[in-house]
Amino acid sequence: MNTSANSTTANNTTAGVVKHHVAHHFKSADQEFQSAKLGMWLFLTTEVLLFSGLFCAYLIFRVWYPETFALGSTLLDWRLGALNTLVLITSSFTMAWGVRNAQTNQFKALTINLAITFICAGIFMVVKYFEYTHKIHVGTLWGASFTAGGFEEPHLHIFFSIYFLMTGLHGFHVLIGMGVIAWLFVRSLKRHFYAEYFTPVEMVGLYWHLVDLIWIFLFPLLYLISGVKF
Amino acid sequence: MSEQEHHHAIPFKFLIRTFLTLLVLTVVTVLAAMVDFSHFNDAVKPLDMDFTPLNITLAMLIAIVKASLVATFFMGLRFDKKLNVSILVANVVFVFIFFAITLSDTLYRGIIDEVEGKKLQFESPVEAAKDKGSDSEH
Repeated sequence: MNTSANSTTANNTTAGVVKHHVAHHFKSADQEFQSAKLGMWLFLTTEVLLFSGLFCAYLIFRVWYPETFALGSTLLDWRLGALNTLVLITSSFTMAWGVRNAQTNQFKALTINLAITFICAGIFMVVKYFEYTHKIHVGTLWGASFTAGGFEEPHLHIFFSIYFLMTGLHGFHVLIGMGVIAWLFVRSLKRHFYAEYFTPVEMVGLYWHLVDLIWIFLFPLLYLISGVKF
Repeated sequence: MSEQEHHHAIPFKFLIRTFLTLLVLTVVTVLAAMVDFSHFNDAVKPLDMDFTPLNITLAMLIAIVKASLVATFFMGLRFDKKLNVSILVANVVFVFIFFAITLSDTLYRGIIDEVEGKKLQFESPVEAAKDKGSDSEH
């Protein structure tokens, strides 16, 4: 970087950044960015359709066996679900803030926000770990693995099949999100992102918000069916 | 500088307001689940279903508002190209078509059987598999 006195005063904010080179098949940085974004939105539609298959299964079985879902829901701890909702919403906020940091050359703030996003995702997975181990312990599992006794309701294994498939696929997405956020974190330390180039931050942000969005539906559909009691 | 003008940084006030609204709506959805609306159900029951239509409707309305806020401000669709907005809208429309067509089958199976004057013996494949599994154990 040019470190002459003149340019440091004029160009202080972007000092030390690693400049991005626009790929040769793009006309401009803007075209490159918009193409990536279009591709990302198309990818997100496939993600929504992937999850919609599971939501559809949920819908069918809930209409067929409403009592099963009402009982199954009481076997989940809504407080843990609510905690995870707050954690994911917070992480979505810090992610969106991070994108803004990159757009406005706030390098330190970007790194901090990515770190908070990563930590929130980690908290989410830790809470899920406790939920899953409890279910493994009491035997409220999927399909034929359902070994918990003492229930009159004959279809509970279906509820837990759907619970584990939906939260499992979602949790898998959170893990992938943690991976790409860690990658962004390392690159942000190397100052790869600045006002003229922040494409990876924006794309990971879109992905992360979709993960948050799916949880927004999963939380009431799984945890809040039969009301909540303190 | 013209490069920067293409990328509208979302004003921070939008981000913080969206965040706070999402937190409030999360509390609201939990509070709404604490109220049992089931005694209203006889008036609004569209089908012979036992679950509480008012509770689930309210929960889904709140979830849709939350999801819209995330898409509009966190995902920046408010400031984005119409093409990207239309992709998401088309996506949601097709998901609803998917749900509607599937439900048009699963919701009315028994009714169709009656109209046709015969009872088709639909058996849950999950149940069948489970029965088979428990038989082989003994």
